[in-house]
Amino acid sequence: MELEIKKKSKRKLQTLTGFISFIIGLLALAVLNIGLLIETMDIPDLFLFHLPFLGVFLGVVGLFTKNRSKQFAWWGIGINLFIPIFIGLMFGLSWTINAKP
Amino acid sequence: MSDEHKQDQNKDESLYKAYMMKTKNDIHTSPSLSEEEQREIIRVGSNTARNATVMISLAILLLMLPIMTLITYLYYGIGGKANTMIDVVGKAIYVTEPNVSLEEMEIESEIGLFSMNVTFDTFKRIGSEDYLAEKVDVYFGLEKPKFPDKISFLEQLPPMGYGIDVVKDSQKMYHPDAMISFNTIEAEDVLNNLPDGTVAEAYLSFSELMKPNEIEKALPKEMEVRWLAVDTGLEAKQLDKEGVPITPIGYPAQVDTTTWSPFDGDQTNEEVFLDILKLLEKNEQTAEIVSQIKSLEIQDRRKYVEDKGILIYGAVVTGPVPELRKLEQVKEVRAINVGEVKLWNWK
Repeated sequence: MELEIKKKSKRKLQTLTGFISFIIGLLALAVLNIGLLIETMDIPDLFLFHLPFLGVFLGVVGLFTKNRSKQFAWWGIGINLFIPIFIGLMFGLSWTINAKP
Repeated sequence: MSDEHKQDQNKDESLYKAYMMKTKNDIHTSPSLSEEEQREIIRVGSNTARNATVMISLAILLLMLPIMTLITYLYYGIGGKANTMIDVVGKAIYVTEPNVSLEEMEIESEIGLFSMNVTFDTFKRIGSEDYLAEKVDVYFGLEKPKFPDKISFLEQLPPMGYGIDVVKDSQKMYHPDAMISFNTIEAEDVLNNLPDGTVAEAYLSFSELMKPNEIEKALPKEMEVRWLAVDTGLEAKQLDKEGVPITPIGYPAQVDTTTWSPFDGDQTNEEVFLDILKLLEKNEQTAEIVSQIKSLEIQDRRKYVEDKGILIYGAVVTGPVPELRKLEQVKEVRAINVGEVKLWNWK
């Protein structure tokens, strides 16, 4: 019994990183959505780069979990990578469309 | 041998039975989870599964808008689709609207979800100044345009409707072989009754086809030729093959030095005009909708112009009204139609 409890607490800690990564991803995505809906480009870098970077890091840590689903960690990494890639692509494409000096 | 075998079998059987008994016993006596605890495990399990589903659904929902935005940008960006559309819109204006120019630098494009709005202002030169003519907003659903929303700042509004008579009667320049539908004497009266301290734009119809370089020589000096209407083979009848009325196409007569104007003097305006016709031919539907012209018939008209060369049947000039009155004496001009009038600004 003792062993099981110990294992349980260890598991909980490991999932937490993946889960936090996922939550950070959701938060950053929500802010990105707000930015797109109100049509502004002034989204703080915190949400576009700093938080997703932290999210990817936590997600990768979460991947080293043993005996536990890594679903949230994968999602966290996916979302947190998506945001900077999205911003990069959007900037690149905006420059090709009706570009003005 | 067989006895020994039987004994072994019995031994195995009894061992097996003993083992089974022990196992059954174990199941009953081992410290198992109570029903309450089992329920708890199921509850936690189902909660976790539900929470995961909710969270991932939320993530998918939040991903939808960025992904759709990205797809839209990719659609318009790859292959320069948006830039071509903007190009077509701008250039269609130059060749279909007499004496109308626009600032290429000021063309704005706004990309929404699977759509794009192109907005810009057009200008008319009246006297020596450019006046805001229209604010235009063209909506593209993917690459299909809608009729543009226009706010006009002109005194003379464009004709309402697209019927044959409406289009024919609203013409201001006529081919030498076409019948003029307005009263030329009344039109000259307008010019005669305008005060001297005004400037105006005038639409001239020539009595014969002229080469572009002959026009300035034939006209009085104190005025500026703005736009030349080109004979494309359909102007005499003013109808295309299917009987749909056509409107003039032509090009600006002056080199436009504003940044990014297609008529910036790198090539002659005639060459640019032919290039624009080629571009519009590839995007005829867009050009027709944007210029609100039912039939551009651009392919036939371009071929005609390339075969016969650029011959002019009408022109838009602007200048002081007293100077424009002199046009009544010019034998090459068979009709004058006064367009916009502004207070004196001639330099």
